[in-house]
Amino acid sequence: MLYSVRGVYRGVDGEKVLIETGGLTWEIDVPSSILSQLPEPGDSLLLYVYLYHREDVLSLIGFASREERRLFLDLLKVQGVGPRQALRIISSVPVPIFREIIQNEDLARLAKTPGIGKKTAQKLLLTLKGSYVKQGPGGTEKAGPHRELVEALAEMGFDRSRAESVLPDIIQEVSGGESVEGKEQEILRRAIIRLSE
Amino acid sequence: MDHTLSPLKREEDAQEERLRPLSLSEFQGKEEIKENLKVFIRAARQRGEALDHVFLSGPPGLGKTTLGSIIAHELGVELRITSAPALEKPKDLAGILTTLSPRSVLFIDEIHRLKPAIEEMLYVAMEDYVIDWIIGQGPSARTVRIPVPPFTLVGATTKAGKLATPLVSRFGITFHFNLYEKEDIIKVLRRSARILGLSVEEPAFDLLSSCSRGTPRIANRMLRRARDFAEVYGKGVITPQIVRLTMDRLGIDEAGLEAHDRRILDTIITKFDGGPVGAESLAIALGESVDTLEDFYEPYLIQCGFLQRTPRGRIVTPRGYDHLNIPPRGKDSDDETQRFLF
Repeated sequence: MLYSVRGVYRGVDGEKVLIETGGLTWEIDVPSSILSQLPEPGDSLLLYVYLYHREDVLSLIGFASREERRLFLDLLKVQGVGPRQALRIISSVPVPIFREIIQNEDLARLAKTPGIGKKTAQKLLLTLKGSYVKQGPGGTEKAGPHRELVEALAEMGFDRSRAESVLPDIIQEVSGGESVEGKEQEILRRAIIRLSE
Repeated sequence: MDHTLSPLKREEDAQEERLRPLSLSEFQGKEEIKENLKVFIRAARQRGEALDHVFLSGPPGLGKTTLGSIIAHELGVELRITSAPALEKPKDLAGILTTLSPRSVLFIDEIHRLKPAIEEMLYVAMEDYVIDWIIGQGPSARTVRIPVPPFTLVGATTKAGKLATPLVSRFGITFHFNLYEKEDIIKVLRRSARILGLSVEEPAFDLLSSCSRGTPRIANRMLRRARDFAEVYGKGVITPQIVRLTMDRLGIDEAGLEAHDRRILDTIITKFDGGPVGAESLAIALGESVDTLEDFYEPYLIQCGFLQRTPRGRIVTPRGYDHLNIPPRGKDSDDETQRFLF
């Protein structure tokens, strides 16, 4: 029913953002990731909102972007995920990354997100798989092999986040003429050496 | 284990580094191993190839690690030392293999303790000088062969029997170390005494070698203890008297048995009627773990002919009774029982 609210930002009350419009101040629940992006009180602020109501609850939930709002609605569709949990997920995983996880059906990573256990992760994948159809070849192809290499290195016992941070540089270095296979070898070889230092 | 005669390495043995020979010619004893190794090393050097993988098995303290470093030294290549328990995840081995310089020697101690996943990685690396690793999942899964420099694996173990056959079969050169003969131990002692600048009387060498259990590491340790006693009670010269005093004070007898070894024999005789007794019961009676008992105490007792391992359990031999000055439970006691029965 409500899509967005634009008004004068009046500060926060606990975890809730206050926006004043025409003499009324709205108290809006937000994912905590927004709290760091808020303007100075008195400035104008636009939040995409969703009116959540259930029996004795009526609350306004706000997001920084349309995508976040859409993701929230998708998450609510998953059995067992409520608004509070959905907000936590959105707070800890940026939308594009969440989309990538779902596309790649990366159960392991999904289960590592705060607020998601293994069971919930499986349910999420099952419910949301269809809703994020792969986008054009450009975007996903890049993410694909990179993720596989990270997985392969993690499997060996290397730290996943270190592998993630080291790989882009190495991929750049190796982007010579060789065949794809030769490249993968060389990328892995260099990654192992660098991560073992 | 804080026994003087334990063949396990201890901190003070770091001094051993000074005594550790660097070339084959300095390595005492084990002539047949040295002669062959010399040929293999020279041939590998001439061809400019990595030496074939070398497998060294035998009891602790006999110089397996030393031989590993000598091989690297004689080949004139880099040496990397690690041990199987330190290779916890595939990344540990992968990290070492990819960073080796060509033809270098990788020494893996206690190689029987490798984890299966790492052992498999090692098989492939030994044979083809690559690391095989699967990336991707499902239909897109594929094996990537990561090249590693050619290298020589020197694998050492105290338990050759515990090694998987496929791994053993990938070693091109295999040496088994036996306990040293007395003459060889004396050679080792002579060399160590020279390096440490000790004056030792000739008969003292003989005595020291007889209580060293055919193990150079123990021989060197005994030499250092004798030096201590010589410096405090004598005039710095290691005489037979000093060695006897050392043995006496450390509770070591002329067969090289420590108090604990004698306790094992004694326990079997007094508590288990001379055996046969199972390793586990014996270990409990002694307050030791079965592994310690089997790996460190029994081999020497068996080699001395004091103890026998039989399918029914451990038995003290007549020589064992003799050594402890206990009359063997022979005919006499049987007669005793007979008389008692009738």
